[in-house]
Amino acid sequence: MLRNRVIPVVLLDGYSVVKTIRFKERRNLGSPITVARIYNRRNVDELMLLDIDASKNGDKIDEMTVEEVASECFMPLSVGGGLQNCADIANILSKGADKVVLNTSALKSLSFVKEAADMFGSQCIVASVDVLKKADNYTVFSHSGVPVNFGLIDWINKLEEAGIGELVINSVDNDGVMCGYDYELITLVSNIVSVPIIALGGVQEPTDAVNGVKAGASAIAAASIFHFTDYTPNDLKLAMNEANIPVRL
Amino acid sequence: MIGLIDVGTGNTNSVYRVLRFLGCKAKLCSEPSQLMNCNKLIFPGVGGFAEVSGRLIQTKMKEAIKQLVINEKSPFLGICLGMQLMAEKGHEGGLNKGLGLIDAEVKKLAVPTSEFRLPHIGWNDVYFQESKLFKNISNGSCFYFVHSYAMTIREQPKDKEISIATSDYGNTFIAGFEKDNLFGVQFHPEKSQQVGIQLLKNYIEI
Repeated sequence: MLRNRVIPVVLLDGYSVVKTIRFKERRNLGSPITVARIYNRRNVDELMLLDIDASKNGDKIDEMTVEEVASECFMPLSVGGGLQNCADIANILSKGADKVVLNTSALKSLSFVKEAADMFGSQCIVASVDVLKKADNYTVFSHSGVPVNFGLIDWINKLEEAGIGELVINSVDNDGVMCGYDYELITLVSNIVSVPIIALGGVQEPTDAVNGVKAGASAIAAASIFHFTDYTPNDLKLAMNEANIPVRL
Repeated sequence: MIGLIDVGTGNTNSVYRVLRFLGCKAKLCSEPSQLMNCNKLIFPGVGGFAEVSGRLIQTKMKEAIKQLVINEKSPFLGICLGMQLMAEKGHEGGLNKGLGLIDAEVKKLAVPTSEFRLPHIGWNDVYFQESKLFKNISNGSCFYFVHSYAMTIREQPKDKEISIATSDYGNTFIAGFEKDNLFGVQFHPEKSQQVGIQLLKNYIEI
């Protein structure tokens, strides 16, 4: 029986690990390889490495960082940040990534998403959508400033049609504040798309992981809780296990 | 020397790194001449069946692999899409021919309800019969899967010629098989931490 995953997310701005609050304030947390080593020792289910400034700056996630992280971690690695075309994807996979995370490039071109899914297989293509609440409505937010032509529901439907394998739903409002997930958002999205949902943004304590799965997430992603509190990914899994949610312990 | 078949879409380096970690000599092979001094092959699979099937033909790797595996009985381990491509044909991206090393077909995973989302992604337990690949691994260990398609084998297991490993995602599906010099695993041992490394170690020692 398939286990629900807990996925630590490591955000990069170029070469350093950072953590944001509501996509604005940032704290610098040092070297990605050090952070990755700790997660590797903790035997995490998967790791997600995202360069949050790459697209905005017209860059790509640093391939040597990916290579270094991949050389030490024999676990699934999803990587994102400025990947614009299939050559970028092939390159970063060759450096050790297993899946790629597309956000800005998907907003710029859905046909690129389809092309990538056809070439590399849907299971390799993860779409990440940042969601901002505006006057009670969930909207798609672009940190890199790309025009967004769709409402949230329309957008996630189009991504699924284009052949993505997984969807990361990231709440901008809950980002870094550690007040729990936006459960309504997770439920809304999981009722619409049929691919696995990775929920990100707001995890504060182990019960959030339990509630995230109950709200419809297939996988729990988090960053701040692991950077700034004593909770480890295993603590989240223990709570999930207590609640009869299948996890790998 | 282990030959890692490289058609340009895969995560060949991930497997390569584990092999190096285990102290094993391996090289990436993207054309037939590179297969020459390899006594064992691994086909790490990432990509779409249709796309990779096409590349195997274009690069003439298809014939070269068949020659080594069928005529010279070189051990061959297919991983994920690599295992699927060992079949006669696959339905992903239209109907396409595989390597035809085993009488099997590749179809989309059949799941009972929409609660079972596809692709099947994550850690799942694998149950095996008598096996060379799974030596020193507890039956029911979790391995990492990331796929939407799976193999259905038509050959009837005769006299324990074929050994099958299974997993469950709503329905039971084939997670691996062994027949003579042919080995296939649907999951990614190079991503499955300790048990995965043990499995690759077992393959190296065959």
